Amino acid sequence: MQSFNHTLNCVGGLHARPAGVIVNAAKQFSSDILIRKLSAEGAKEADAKRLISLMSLGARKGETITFYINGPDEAAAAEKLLAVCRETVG
Amino acid sequence: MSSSAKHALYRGIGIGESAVYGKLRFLGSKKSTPAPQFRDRQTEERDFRDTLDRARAETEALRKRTLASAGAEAAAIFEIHEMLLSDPDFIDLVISGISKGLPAAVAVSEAGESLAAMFESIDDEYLSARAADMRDIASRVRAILLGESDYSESGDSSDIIVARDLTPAETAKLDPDRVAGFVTFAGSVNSHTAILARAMDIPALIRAEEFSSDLNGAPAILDARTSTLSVFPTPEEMSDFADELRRRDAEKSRLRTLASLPAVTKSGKKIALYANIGSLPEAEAAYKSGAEGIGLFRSEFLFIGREDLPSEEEQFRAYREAARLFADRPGPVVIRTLDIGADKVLPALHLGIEDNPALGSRGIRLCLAHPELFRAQLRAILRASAFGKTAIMLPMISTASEIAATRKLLSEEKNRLRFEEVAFDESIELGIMIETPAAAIMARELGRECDFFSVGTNDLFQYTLAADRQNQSLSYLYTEGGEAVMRLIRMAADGIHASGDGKWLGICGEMAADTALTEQLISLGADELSVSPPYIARVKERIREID
Repeated sequence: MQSFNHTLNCVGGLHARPAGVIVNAAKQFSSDILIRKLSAEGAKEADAKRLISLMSLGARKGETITFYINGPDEAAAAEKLLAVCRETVG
Repeated sequence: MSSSAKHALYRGIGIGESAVYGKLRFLGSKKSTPAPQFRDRQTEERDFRDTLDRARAETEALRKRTLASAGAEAAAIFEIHEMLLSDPDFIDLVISGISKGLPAAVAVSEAGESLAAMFESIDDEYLSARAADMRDIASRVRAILLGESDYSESGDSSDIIVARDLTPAETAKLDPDRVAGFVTFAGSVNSHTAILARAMDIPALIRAEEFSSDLNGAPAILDARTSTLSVFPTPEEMSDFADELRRRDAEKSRLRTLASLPAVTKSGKKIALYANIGSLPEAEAAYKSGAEGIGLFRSEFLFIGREDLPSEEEQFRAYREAARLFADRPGPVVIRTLDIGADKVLPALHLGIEDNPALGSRGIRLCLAHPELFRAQLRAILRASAFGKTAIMLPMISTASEIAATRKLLSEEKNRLRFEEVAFDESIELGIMIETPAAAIMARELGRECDFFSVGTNDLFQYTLAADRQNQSLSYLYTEGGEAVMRLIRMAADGIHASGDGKWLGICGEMAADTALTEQLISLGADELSVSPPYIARVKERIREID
């Protein structure tokens, strides 16, 4: 199990395009990848390989999302997703 | 149309800069197809999955078409549509509908509607606007399942399309050569439809006051600038519109001709004619206007109106976009580093209040006082320089030590990039703004430290005459004080030209756009003039008249 936090810095939060970038990256791995967002209404979770699910988190700029990665290629997946978050999603 | 031919004016939110005349054509009143009947589960499922494949192929075709007509930004939404079409949440919902005995077409509509409602319930304007995307893909899948014909083939050149809400796919199918514009009763300025309309240069009126589809076929003028739709326009409106059209056509063809001509005087002196911009959409406008480069890219737009500071990455992406756009033009994209002082709100920096911001810690002074902020910007510009010719310009310079301090930071950041094996242009030019009289007077010394000067005439004027531009009672200083500023510009020109071959002087203030001054500025030694995009053609016209 690998896990890391990412605080969204992209202007509009986790919108269609940044979410799409995460989904495309996540799909390259066989590990289960879960994204969790804590909010005042409680925690919300999404499957990182599903666009609708991810967008329904409604994660905004300034909010922190946590990735939980579990499976045979979890280390590579964590590395890739971390890079994607930092370099492309913002 | 005789009895109902009554003039009426409807308001909404205008998108675009133009006015068009055409006949209203209502969408959504498609031919009625018989209600689909449930066959058996396997047949419905197979039909649905086959249809998904076809819908993806159609989406791919739309993406390519949009890429060609409106660019990558606008086309990106269809990649999202392709992902939505493959999304297990959508597919599972449809399959579960079919397993309850719904015909595939109905199951698709219901799934689309339920996911759209989910998006609408999110308290975020952008994400709730994605409901339209969800409905869009569902209605496309449904239309294929039901074999409904495509309206987009039957347009003629003067139609104003009217719909409750045009989906992005519908908007992209509209051929600007055949459709004059469109009107929607719903929609928002952030919707993809509005963005696409702007990118494709189709005027639109969104959130229009509702009117009945009895008006189908009625003549109308849609004016995006006044945000109005005039149905059965009055004779006066028609004649105003015709005048406006003639004026615009004449202006357009004149500007088109000019855009492709070089900015050369009659005696053959070539003047670099660049554009001043303060945002990325302006970069597009500058490119279209025929600017040979960007002489002043104000980077403040990335910093103002937000609580935090833009990351290096965010800045890099913005600068890269401009650099890429102008990569095929001869001139560079000159990015002016953050020019801000205590008079502008920048919450993240906690700037103290100064009694006299115009004479306070601003421009380069502020950047050097916040080296981390400055380094991030320098790195972002350096990285962008790998994608097209880019230059760095420092605002509010008054001493050589300010340039030296910047050079030190710049060379450290270059070293770090080399170490990280990140590409950048090793020969990137560093220039300064001439805004203080001190900089003009010391031009020879400052010229040795940099590659070019660009005169910010507005600030140079105000600092030379010690007069606030906003102060109406001092306007005589602005009419009579010109000579003092002109002499300083000459000093700057002589200084930079004496400092080395290939070093140049630009003018990027309002004076550069004043065609009454063009000849004088060139005779003083200006090699480059940088003006906002709408002035490019006019200044070029003037340059070409000068001996």
